[in-house]
Amino acid sequence: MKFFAKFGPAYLMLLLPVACFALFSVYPLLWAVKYVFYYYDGLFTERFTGWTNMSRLMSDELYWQSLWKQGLFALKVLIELPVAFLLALLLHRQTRGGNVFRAVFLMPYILPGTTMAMVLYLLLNPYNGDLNRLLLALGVVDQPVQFLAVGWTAFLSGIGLDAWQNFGINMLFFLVGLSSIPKEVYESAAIDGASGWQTVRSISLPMMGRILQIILFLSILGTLKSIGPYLVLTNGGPNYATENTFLYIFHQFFSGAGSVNYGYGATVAVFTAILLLALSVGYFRLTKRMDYH
Amino acid sequence: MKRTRSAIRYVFLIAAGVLTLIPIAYVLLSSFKTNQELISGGSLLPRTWTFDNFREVWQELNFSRYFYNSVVFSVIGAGAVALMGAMAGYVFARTDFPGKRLLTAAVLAVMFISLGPMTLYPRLELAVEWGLNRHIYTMPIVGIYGIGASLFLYEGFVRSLGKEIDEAAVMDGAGYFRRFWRIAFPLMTPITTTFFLLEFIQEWNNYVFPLVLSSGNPELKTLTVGVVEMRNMGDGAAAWNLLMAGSAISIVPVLVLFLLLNRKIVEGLAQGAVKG
Repeated sequence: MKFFAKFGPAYLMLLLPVACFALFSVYPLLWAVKYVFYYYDGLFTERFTGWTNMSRLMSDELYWQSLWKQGLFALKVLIELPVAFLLALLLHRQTRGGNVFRAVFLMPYILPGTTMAMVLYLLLNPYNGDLNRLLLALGVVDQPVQFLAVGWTAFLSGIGLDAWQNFGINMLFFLVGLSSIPKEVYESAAIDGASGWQTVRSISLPMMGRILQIILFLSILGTLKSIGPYLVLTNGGPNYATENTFLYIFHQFFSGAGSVNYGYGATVAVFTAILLLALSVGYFRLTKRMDYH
Repeated sequence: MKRTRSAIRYVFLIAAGVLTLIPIAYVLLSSFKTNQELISGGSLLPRTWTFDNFREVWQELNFSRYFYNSVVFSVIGAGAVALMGAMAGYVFARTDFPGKRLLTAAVLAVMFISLGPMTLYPRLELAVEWGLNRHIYTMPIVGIYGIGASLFLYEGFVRSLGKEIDEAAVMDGAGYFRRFWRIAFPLMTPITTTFFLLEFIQEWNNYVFPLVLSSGNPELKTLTVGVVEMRNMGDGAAAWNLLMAGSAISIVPVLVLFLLLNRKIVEGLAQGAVKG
């Protein structure tokens, strides 16, 4: 009785959030773990199959290839982060109109990615697309490029779009990191006659510490669990060249094919989640040294 | 010397800014072009401005419905998640109830496990079973994740409010819910606004969820789904002007929101790095 008087209202207030959490966040996880061991066609047939799904995964070449694509896609941060950092350095000094530039660079981030992928799809069209038209007019190419019909150009197009959308948020994070460094440090470095590059290397980067660790984590892990623009831009084509793992997972469930084994889809997702979890733990182990504040 | 350096800085920033804006300007300006002009090419600015694209998309291609659906979907999704975050954060900050650590661990675990679009399937099954995918007002429900990173955001904020206000209200005989609703929740307005805005933008841009939930029920499509679907319209390349107008309709609302409430949104986004 006393217990209820003490905690009753708290539990009552948690009821709705926890119910939603249990149903729409936790239940899908448990569902996935269960169906790793089942054959399930979504309608009538559901039978226990033990490790069958898992062994199918081990020899599924498309899956292993998709992991490779996902990893390649993550190389996107090599373009995105240096650009973001450079812009943050430029904006970090008191700049007139700094807020305007910051807003401009963030703008792509808040737009619907699928719409922008659709627009890029039109831009890259070999017949009437404006990008091809521009390249032809400038004399860069002498016939239209089939961007989305060739594996590596299709892949790079997606990387370009995704980098365009996400460099702004990383720039903002870098700005937060840079402003956490006390001004005095820079001043004494200037007195000691440190060059711009030296200042960046031995002050800006290392002293951001924990924030830098988080920025790298968010952008690397973020791309490793992202479909990217490929669902709309290429739907994984041509010939699976842009089918990364998370698009592969999507296709296991929602490709519109007739007889599907959702148990296998669950297996692909769970195995991938475990890989990413291991990677996250490994990342924080390796970068522990960065967190010295 | 200093002058030139600062000039170089500006030139660089402006060049980067222009490059960033070109794709957005391209969509907005192209949406006013006639289809003929789009197909035959030309400058960024339309030769002849036309509003027919918008009229046609809005009236004949059902984009007025999609727009309404996008608004409903985003408001319900973002509103529910913000309210639940506030409630859970309040309880976590004020009461040491048994099971708190277990719940914290579960929330953290869910945050670090990424099954991607797979989690949509069991939720779709639930939605179908409960008949939630028949109406736009109930469609967002299976997307309400309940407790997530918002918990820690709100918990920290409520702690920073201090307990004194609550204790004064207890003296006055206000119950737990009353204290939350009348005292704490109004004080949380700044953080709730920011969180709601960010969630709203995210839901507005959501594609996969409404795509899957609205399949077989075209009246439930949101703008993002409608735009992509236009690619498969009968005559393919023939309707680029409509596609551009549809795209413009899907990006303008978030763009306007971003420009009007820039400080709030940027501040909220910046917290992502510190929180993590």
